[in-house]
Amino acid sequence: MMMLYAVAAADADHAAATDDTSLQAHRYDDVTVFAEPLTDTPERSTREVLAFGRVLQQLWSHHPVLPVRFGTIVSDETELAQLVAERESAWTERLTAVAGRSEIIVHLPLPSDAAPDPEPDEPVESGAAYLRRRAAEVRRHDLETAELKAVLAPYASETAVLPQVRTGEARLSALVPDELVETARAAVEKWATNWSWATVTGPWPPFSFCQETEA
Amino acid sequence: MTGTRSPALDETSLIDLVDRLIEGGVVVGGDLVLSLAGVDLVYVGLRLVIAPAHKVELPGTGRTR
Repeated sequence: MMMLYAVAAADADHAAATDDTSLQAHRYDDVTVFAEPLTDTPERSTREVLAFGRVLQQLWSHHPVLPVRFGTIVSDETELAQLVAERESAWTERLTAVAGRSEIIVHLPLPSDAAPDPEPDEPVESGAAYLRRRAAEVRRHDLETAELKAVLAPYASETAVLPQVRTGEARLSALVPDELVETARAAVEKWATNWSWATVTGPWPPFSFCQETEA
Repeated sequence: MTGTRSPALDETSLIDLVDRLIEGGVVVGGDLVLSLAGVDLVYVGLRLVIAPAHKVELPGTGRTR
């Protein structure tokens, strides 16, 4: 069996891109799939995931790639060929969409569910007051997200809302041209001074844009 | 394309990287969870994909600005 790392254009070569000598390039008409032969299933450890990520980033530093989710395994070349036959056209389109672009991820505060600490002589918050406060916070967050998308619009060809990974934080991902990553980051950080805070990570391979998303 | 594409791996970046490695990217899909050698797998025809529900331990998750 083999673990898949990334899909790249048909002429992509990994020899100069990575020091992982076990990586193999499987070439098809329109795409190349980088994969590693395995005798055992990969460990479910942070170390293994990060080692996978390191090779992936080395590949990405040389070619536009579609990263494959960690742990995706095919049993043999026949399985891989079948998988490619089903998806080659879609992968080729996405490779074109992500070429020369990087993913950045913006972290934003989510509306708080907890009431602020009352002043000593302040009555306990009523149910109606709680609902009004929550509605106002959700509206504020929606406005914040809309504003952030507007800030990113001059740079991002696509955006995606990502699942929450930390309590109290929302994440918005954007696909931006490589040469505009720092400009987009600066624009977000400047915009965030009007709100509470925002953190930008990346540039990353286009993890969140392997399928078509909203513009 | 090299050089500017290596973000500093502070805590927030590390969380994003690990999350995207195991939850993002090309997803082949699956329909039946199996367990093999202690690893949850999804069986798809002859295809084996580690289940999206699988988790890896993450370093501490305090917020950074």
